[in-house]
Amino acid sequence: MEMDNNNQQDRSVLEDKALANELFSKEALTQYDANTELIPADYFDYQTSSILKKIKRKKALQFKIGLFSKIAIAASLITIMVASYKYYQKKVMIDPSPVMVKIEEISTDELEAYVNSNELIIEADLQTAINEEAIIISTINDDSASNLDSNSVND
Amino acid sequence: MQSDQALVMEFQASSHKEGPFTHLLKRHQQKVYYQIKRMLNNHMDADDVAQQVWIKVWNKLDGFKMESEFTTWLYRIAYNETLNFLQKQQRQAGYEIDAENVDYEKAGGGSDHPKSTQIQIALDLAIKQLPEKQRFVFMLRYFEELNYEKIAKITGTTEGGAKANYHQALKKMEEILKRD
Repeated sequence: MEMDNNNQQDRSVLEDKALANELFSKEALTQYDANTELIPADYFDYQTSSILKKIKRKKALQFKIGLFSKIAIAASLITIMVASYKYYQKKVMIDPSPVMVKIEEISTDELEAYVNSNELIIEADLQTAINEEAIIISTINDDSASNLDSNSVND
Repeated sequence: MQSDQALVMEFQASSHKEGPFTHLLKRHQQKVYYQIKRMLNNHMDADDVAQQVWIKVWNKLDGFKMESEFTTWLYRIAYNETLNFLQKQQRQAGYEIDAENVDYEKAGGGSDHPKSTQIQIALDLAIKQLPEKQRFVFMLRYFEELNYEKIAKITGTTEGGAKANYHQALKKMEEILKRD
């Protein structure tokens, strides 16, 4: 079957060529192709080596470009990282905003530790307040007593 | 001898690609070069384009899925590169070859045809005046003896389209020869 197809194709090519030969001249067409085949001696050896050289050059260039790109990418990443770190540090120094912590987030142990360490201060403050109140009261009492004395003298 | 398919597979699988590529290059470089030279009629230009084709093959061969024969794919690259070259050349020259104003003597002498006779020069001119696609189809059919299925895949047309291109090319060449 395949052989039949091939034979048919061959016949068809021969018919097409015969048509062209009839219209023009087989010799002229043959000569046209023969002239096409006029090339410098050893041209195809030269062509092979020239193509392979070009490919090798291109490969070397691609390797260099690839290496350069990798270095450039790595350098960019490092620059970005360093710049980000410096920017962050600068921001922290300029804007040291207090850290807000919710009371629910503080553990009981931490609260107890805080209270224990600040207990003496609270007690000292309380004592100072009592003393101040006592002074005020004693001053008021002295004034009342002197008023009573003067009233009794007048009587 | 390894088949084209085996060499392509070896190229795609191996990190040492030069070996299989050189085999493919040596096996097909003549056909590629001659097909391009038939289109361009100038050795230097044909050499440039042929080298460009093979560099493209090197770059694209890893992605070749072997859905068609290697040679079909190779000729398709050659076809595209040749058309690109011709279009670039026409843009640079600033004009298209005007069929009515071709200098008969100059056109024959400008190509690489040292043994041109009157009929050969006329044929050369007639071929040059064909639209690029028809010219490529004519060359593939007449000189490379490819079947229309393959020609259609190379030139991006249907089998019927390729056949029509060949016969239109013959008709047009006949008209040009009669006119001149």
